[in-house]
Amino acid sequence: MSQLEIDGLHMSFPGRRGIAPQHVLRGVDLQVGQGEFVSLIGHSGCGKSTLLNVVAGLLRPNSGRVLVGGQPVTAPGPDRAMVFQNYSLLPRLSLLANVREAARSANPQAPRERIDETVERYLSAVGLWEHRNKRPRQVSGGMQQRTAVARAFAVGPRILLLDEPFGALDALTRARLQEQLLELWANESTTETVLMVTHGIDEAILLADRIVVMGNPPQPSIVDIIPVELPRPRDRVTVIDDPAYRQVQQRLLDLLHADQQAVA
Amino acid sequence: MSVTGHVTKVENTAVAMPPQPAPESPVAPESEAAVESAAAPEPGAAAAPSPDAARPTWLAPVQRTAAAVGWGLLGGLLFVGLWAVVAYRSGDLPSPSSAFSTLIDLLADPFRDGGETDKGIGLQLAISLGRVFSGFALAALVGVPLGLLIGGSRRAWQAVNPVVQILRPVSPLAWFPLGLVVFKDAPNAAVFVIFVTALWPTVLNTAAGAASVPEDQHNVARVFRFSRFSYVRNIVIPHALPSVVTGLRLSMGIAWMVIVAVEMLSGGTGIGFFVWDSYNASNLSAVISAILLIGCIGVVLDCLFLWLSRLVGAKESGQ
Repeated sequence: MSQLEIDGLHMSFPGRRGIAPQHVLRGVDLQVGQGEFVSLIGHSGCGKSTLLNVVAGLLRPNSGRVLVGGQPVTAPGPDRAMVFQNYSLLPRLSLLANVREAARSANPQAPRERIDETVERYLSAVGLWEHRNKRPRQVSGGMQQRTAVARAFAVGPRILLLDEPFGALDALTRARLQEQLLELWANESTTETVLMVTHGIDEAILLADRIVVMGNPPQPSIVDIIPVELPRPRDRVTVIDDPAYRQVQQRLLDLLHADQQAVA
Repeated sequence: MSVTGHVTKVENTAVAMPPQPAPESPVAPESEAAVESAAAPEPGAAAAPSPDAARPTWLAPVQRTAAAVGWGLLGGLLFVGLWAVVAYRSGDLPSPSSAFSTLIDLLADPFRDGGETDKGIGLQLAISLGRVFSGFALAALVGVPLGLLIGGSRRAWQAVNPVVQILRPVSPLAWFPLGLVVFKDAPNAAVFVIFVTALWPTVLNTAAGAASVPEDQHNVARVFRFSRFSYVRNIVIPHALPSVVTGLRLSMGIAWMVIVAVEMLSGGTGIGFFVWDSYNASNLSAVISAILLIGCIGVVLDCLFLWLSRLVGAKESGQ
């Protein structure tokens, strides 16, 4: 059984004056297996973030359903944690308090020592334990996003939802964070499944097992699903020369280009 | 209707803000660094030999300050001059010189207490300040939690808003008779009027601040399943704090205006009574002296809250 199952999801945003209603999700079906890393890619407005928010339980779809471990999703839950696009740390709390507050809220029954231990482990894993007492605005964007990643893992989710997590970072910081993310996902945590929205073709290929290409109308919501059959661990330098990498890259470029043509 | 729609949210403008872009004007909290560097001469910059600058760099801010003070004095003199002309023409109004000499007489023994109604002006002002602060504190005690509640809950907002909107435009003085009946005591009724005065701006600004929690912070609370308590403590209150201080500042400003009117009604003690009593004794110089002192204290109160709002504003930016 798939860990995450999305069935016939439809979602429209009502139009305002002069703007037609937008049918953002047009019958989305997707199964994600336990331990899979799936990327959602597509042009702006194709509904990839909306889909992620529905899975998170932040938005209710017009029709269709989302099942996590066979249970329908109606609200956010501790089995799913999210890393937001704009870091979204609480500005008045220290990095430590940001992570701890989330870990504590998501696991209200857990003993304090275990929470503290978890928080320390993940903050150390992203290299921020020495900076734990700083406020978000006192550290760089990359450090803020690492805190957000630590916060999501510290909750102990089974499914991790990432909404363009590294979009606002420079290339070097992004590369380091991608590696930290893979390391945490593969070795350090109980998190099994990752669903990541991204704009980056290379990021999607480097990280994902499957890439879901989403399109704007008149195309269907899911244009294609491309498996990435590259062995792990993938080295960002050498993987580029793999023919399979080239093949997926070309395929993605073609699909995204076609989608843009269709819209224009 | 949105919360913010009705709320008078005044920015942290300075009390005496010159309209020209002077860097020393205490306007925006985020320009503090700029203010500092403009006000405090950098030792290195002053010592460095600059080819085209004949004057040392620290001179410029000094000149700007001197110019501001100069124009301020000129405006003051013009005002006094105008006053002198009007007073001379009317014949009934006291001239500036007689008003100032009365002011000096009054300030010579401000805390004289000759019983019942014969009190020094300092004592009268202190009594009024005491009433304002009591009413204001009560309003903050009630208004801030109420504002947080209606800012955080749509239902509470819908329940409270009609009542607030109807009562808000009413002059607080209209509450005085009710206060008299309930408290059977004029001074307490005056405190009650100040309470009502300060309540609305506090409630509405707090509500506006609490209602404007950014979507992403709200989503963080939902995804990580913050408890109601944790949400209010870690997200709503920190976010609302600057608006709360703005509300308190507005409340204090209005309360200080209203207290004069209330004490004219209530009689007995306080600066408002002093003004009315002086009028009845045909001592208009004392009235004008009181006006000047009320104004000065108002400025001091406003500066106090401006400082407070800078303090919470600075915390916001992670200092």
